[in-house]
Amino acid sequence: MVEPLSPLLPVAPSYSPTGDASEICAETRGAAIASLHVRPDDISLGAPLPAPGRMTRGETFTLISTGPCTYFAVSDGADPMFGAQLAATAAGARIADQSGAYVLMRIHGGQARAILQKGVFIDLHPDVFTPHAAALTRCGRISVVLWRADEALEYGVAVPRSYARSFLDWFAFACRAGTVARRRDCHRQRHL
Amino acid sequence: MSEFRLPSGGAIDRTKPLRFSFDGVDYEGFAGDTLASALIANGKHFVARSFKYHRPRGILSAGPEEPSALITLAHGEHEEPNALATTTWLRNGLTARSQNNWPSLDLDLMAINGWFAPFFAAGFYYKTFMWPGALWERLYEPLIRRAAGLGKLNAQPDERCYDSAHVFCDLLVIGAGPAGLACALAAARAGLRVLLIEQDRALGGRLLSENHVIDGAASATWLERIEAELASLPSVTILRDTTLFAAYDHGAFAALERIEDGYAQQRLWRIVAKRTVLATGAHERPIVFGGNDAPGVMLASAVETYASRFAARAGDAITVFTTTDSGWRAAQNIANSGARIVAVIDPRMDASFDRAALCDAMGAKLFSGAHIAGVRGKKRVRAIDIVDRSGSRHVLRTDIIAVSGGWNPAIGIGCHLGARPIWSDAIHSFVLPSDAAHVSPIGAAAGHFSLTNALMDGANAANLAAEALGKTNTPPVIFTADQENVSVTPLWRVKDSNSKAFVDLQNDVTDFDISLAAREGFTSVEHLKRYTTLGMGVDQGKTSNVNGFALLAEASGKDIAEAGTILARPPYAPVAIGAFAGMHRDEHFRPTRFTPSHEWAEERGAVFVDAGEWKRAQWYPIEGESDWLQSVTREASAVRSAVGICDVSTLGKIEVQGPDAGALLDFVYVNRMSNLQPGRVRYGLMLREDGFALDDGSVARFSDQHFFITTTTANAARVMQHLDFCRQVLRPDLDVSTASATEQWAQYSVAGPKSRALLQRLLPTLNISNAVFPHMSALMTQWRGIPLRLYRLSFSGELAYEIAAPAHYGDALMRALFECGAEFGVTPYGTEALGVLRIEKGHAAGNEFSGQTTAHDLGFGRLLSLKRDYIGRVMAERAALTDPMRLRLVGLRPVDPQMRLTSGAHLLPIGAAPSASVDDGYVTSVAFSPSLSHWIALALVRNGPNRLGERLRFYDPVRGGNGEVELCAPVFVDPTGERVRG
Repeated sequence: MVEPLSPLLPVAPSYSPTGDASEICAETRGAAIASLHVRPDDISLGAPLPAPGRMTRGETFTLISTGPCTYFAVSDGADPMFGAQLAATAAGARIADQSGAYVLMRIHGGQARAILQKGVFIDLHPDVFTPHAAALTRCGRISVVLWRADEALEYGVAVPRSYARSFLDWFAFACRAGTVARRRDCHRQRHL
Repeated sequence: MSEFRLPSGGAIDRTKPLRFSFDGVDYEGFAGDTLASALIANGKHFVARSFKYHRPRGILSAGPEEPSALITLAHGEHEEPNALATTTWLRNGLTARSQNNWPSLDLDLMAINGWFAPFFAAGFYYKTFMWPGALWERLYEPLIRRAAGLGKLNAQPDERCYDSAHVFCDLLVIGAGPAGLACALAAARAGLRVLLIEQDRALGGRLLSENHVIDGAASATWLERIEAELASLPSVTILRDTTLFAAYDHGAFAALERIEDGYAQQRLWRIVAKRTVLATGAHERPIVFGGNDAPGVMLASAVETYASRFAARAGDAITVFTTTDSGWRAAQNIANSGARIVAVIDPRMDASFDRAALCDAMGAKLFSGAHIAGVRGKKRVRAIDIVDRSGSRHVLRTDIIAVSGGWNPAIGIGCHLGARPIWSDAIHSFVLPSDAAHVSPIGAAAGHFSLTNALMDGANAANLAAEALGKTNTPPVIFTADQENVSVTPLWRVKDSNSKAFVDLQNDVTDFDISLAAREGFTSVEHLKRYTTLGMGVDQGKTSNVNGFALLAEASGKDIAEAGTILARPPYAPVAIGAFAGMHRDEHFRPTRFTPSHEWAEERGAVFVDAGEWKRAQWYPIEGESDWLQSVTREASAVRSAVGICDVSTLGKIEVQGPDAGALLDFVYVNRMSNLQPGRVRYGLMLREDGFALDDGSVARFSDQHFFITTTTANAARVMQHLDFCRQVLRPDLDVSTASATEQWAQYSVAGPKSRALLQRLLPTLNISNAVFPHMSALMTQWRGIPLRLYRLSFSGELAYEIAAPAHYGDALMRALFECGAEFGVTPYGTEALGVLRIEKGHAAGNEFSGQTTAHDLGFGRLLSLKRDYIGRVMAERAALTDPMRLRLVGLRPVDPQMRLTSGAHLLPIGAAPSASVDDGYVTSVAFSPSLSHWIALALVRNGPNRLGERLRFYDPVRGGNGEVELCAPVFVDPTGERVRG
């Protein structure tokens, strides 16, 4: 068996604005990804299809809506043959393994939403980008798939592999340049 | 502390002194000062020279409408011109200088322009430089360009850091004066997500300079209470020091935040709001009178602000010249702050309050029904000439003239989407029409100048927004304030002035210029603007337009409502280009893409080249090589003689699946793909709709319903877009899917006579013999448990394969290939050697797929299917596109084998003088051929394929190339193609 190589290994696998693990953008390793084109009436996948802009959690993989009739399947394991196996079981779907095409990142911590919002031009307010929301969008001029897995204000981001370093560059810059939430107090001026 | 700093009061922090310099002189101010307030507190009023006449100018206003006090700020080596002293917050070490003068502000030799002022009236350039025409480009334009402009960039890089961010809200409130604050608070209480933007660092607007009673409390107390409540509400975001400068469709806005102490110095905000309220207040209007541009002539509200907010006394003897009730309130506040008012001049004959009593209380003289006819003093006001109601003249010593001519609602943002302001007789200014749907003006921005009305407007706008968005305030928010007089009687200009009276201080436009323009027929406001440059400065005429249009109306015999006004366009205030770039500059100008084996290539010492966003290995120098050509020649030779490996992962790759996959490919390629057998590969050419060549690549078929296509690196995204457009829009009847797989597959070309042996070593159990896996074949297999794809195709003309693994295993595959290839002398080769090999084989690539070439031009005419339709077919058959006289692909070899060929050179008949009329074509690609030991080239030559053997002149005037070349077939190596089938 061959060991996969992270595109971030030569630089840094993660970035933390505070220097600790509480706030971080880090690669999530050990997952396999496939893109699916599934007709709405197709049930061969054996899992409920998420509505547009949403994601659903299945037994062994998560389905993320990426467009009309198109989805990402993200498996829990890093099986190199994930795409082929999925294709064998879901006869009606057109499947392309994308495990090498994307780097999965997890952004979490108190500043996660504020920092991500700097790069993403969709509303990430918790009442708008609710748990299990997903979007195909751009962040720091890079096309990404973005989702919010649960109640926590943390986000999954699938970044095209060749752009992974640039994405981390953007994240580090966005952190260094600050957020309005962080600046709110320091900018309040007393009327003397 | 300087003598002009008031001993108490104001919002400055006297415990935090700040040092700064202006024009090389050190001064001291306090935290909370602007540069303007600090200069005024140091008695410095003469801070600028005017644009055209280089007249001394001072500080007119205390805000973003400032037309005169433009200065240059130093940021390290970089200088920022045209910053406003009135909105630049003081910081320790701030270095500023005046601009538009030489050699100094005090002694500006360019002021000589003022002597020739009679010649420099509006339209001077247009009238003077009409003849002789030959001098225009050589003399006039360079001279005018040199003289034009205000501040100048010093060409040093701007090292400041610019950030960017997005924000969404239910209600955007632009402006945090009393109306904006009331609106934001009421909306937030109703449960709306509110974004409150304020260009000032402090919230409050006029409340920062004036004292009122709101809800029974002092306005300062009310302000603190409101601010505290807003800060406590999580649904409220407040952006201070932020200028909203543009409105766009669908509730989108842009704003610029200035950050004093951050990693970034500015932040560009992109905003999306469901509802927007314009609470931007109003700009006080100057009065046009002779000498009204001298340092010391200020807006009354500015003198008031400097005194009450910044504790800076503008002068020793202040005269107020007002046609408004607010001017009287300003006079009282100025007097209350400790400054001395010597006179109040009010052209109005009477008012609704006792003006004499107010003057008595201030110890000032009252001149009712009077006006200022002239100003004495050039670099500072020394005295004024007053004409009283009886016509008698008086001279009054004064050093500050505080002017109040009315108020213009700040409605620029409201015009950005096309709403044209309308005239209001009630306030003698322009207001937004009621159908300016994207913003709702409130308070002074709506022409409602009293505090009570502003507060009421704010609450009402919030309630309307809340209702529209399905929320309500229970109980409704109501604020009450003291009553105030807001009457205005406009005085557009003083007619008996004895010197120049300026309408636009920034562009030196006088009342004479306006009347001249009207006399010459420029009676439309748009024509007036362009003819006189009225309002065309960086201030966009915030203090000048209304006066100018009123004077135009007067001069052209129109009603001012009929004369109308111009439409403000973005940006409302100047924005540095760096703010739009954000972090995307220098090496981050665009994202960088790295191939899966980038680290491996770095270890091998590769030299990288930018191919779009990609970093590709260009060549791999080894010890002893000092010249790129040496490395490239060695690499290309290795491929021809043994085996080489090149990273081709950047090629576009697309999976095409479904029962109609073949039909879709038949639709987009000129040659049929649906009859391709599984396990086979075919070359494919796509055309654009207009019949020109779009892109080429290979098409592999893995099963009945599964094709895999490659594109050139440059056109990967374009072809993907093209396929999706065809699939979704042109042929929705086809049951087919596409998925980009460019990122998924690390793909390597293994080329050379020993390539099969190498691969056999990697995949010992796989039969890739010529019989089983011939040229143009494809298969899927596995390698050490990972999926692998193998193609037999050749770009180099040698026996060659392309092998692909999922990108995260690409590095491992590359290392394994080199382990297996060691005994065969495997050599890595980069894009340069790749180019050499393909030129030797005559393959067209990006240089030839220029968007101007057809299939016929590139020698692919025989591929064009005649039996079926495909994109571009009809247009490709146009006579002009199949004309043999078009520029068509041929090879070139130099007659002198030592001659070096260069790409881009032109080909001319031998003996003809170089001229476009005799141009026979041009060179598209060149290479030094290791196989032939001389330079070769591909070229597009008129009727080229029918002229083989002819000689042409090779002419490259840019790089000095000159010589003879012979036209030949473009395939220089192995023309029968035996090697690829070997």
